[in-house]
Amino acid sequence: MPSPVAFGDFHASTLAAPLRELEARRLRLVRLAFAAAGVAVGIAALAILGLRENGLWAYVPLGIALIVLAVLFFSGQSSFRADFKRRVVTEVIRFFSADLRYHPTGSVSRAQFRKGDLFRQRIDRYAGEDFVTGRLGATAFEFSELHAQYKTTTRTKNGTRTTWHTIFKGLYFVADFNKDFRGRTVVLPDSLQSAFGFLGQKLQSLNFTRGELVKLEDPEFEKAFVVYGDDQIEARYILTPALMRRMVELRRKVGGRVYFSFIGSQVHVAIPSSKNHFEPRLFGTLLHVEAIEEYYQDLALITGIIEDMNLNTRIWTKA
Amino acid sequence: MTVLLVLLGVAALVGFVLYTSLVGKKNQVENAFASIDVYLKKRYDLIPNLVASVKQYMNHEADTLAKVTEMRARATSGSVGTDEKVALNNQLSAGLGRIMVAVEAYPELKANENFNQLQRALNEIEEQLAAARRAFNASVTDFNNAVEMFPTNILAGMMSYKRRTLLVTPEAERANVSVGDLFKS
Repeated sequence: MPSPVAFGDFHASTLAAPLRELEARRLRLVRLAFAAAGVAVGIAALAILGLRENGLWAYVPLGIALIVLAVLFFSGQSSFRADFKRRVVTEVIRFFSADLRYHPTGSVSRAQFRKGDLFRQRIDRYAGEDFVTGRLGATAFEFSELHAQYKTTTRTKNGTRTTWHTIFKGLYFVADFNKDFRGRTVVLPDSLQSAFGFLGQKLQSLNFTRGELVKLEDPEFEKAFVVYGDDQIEARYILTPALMRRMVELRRKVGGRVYFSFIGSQVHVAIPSSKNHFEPRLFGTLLHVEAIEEYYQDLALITGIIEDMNLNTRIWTKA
Repeated sequence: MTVLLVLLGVAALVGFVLYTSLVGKKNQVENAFASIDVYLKKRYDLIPNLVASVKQYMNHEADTLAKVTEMRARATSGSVGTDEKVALNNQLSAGLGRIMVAVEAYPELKANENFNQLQRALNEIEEQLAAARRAFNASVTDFNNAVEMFPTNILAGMMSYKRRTLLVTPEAERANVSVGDLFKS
């Protein structure tokens, strides 16, 4: 974390001009939104007052006004978002480290997501944004927001209905691991064992699709996670007692479920989250330092995984 | 009559399942023990290289180096029993640990590329060895649970399976390394 002064300086020097301009655009958007809301209220009022018989013509100008306002608002909003990310978020990320690259519309690839093997449902819709790649210390990494979904279709009276279900929505992080390994080790949030104890563990060992259940020594880790792997020794080679403590700590820090998989000499970390990161806010000024500092803190939290998992310690044969 | 037959069948099936799970657990323990051996062997292979590369620098540790070499020779000779082997390897770990701490006193050795490679390789093997020991202890715990818990304990009694002991770190290794002591001799 930089000193508040350093961040304040950066905010005042690099971001001042774009933020002033973007703030003006934000205010225009807010006015548009209020105008549209006003028109919508007007239409509702007319409907309630019962202007039906010969007053139908009164709706036409209002309807047209609403459509125009809505089009203006949504097109303005999407270019506002894009410009904000290009001119502000990009700078914040560059300020964080010159070794990072930011692609507002990019994402961790579908192939990479598949390779992580954490979520095994068929993917019908895959989208993501806020893709960051780079290297901190000895560790190359990438992450983005992701939303993967699958669909189900059910037959109803009037044809078929398609429903979309979320497989994963949140932050997906992939980094080079500091040890070499061949197999696959998957660490999932534990729902069975924490609820049912020993019996839950028995049930877990019956999960044949995931490989062997790996039972580890750390009781707190065992309560929080369940580990499956191809190789009992390799799983322990990766999950040292120190790393297990760090993973429990990381789980506490993000305050929820965390998924890990160790595969192809990489570690994949999936953090479900409903928050949309690196977005400008519409209602609330952009000019305060705190509004911008939040992006920095989010970035620090995510890239902090490298330090949290001690990935920059390279004392083993992998350079 | 059929009810009796069905009951007998079910009992036989349950007995069979329990029996196979017990035997599986016992073999798992042996398998885990054997894989510790694999890493020990890897470590034996590394020791001559390590000793050769540090010998010319470490004048004061000639004693330790000679001891490590000798212990390695004894451990690989094949004439030692399991208990003695465990003891030998514990001493070997301690000896290697001493060498690695002593290295701190030799800056030109620390800067040596070849030695750095060896040090990384040794770290790697120690890490894998630790993992193999933990895997062994986990399978022993699994086996011991089966031997002591109902209903497998009945079968285990009939098959005269006994509890196995866990691998523990010897007292000497667990104590903090005193750097002062290392340079006394």
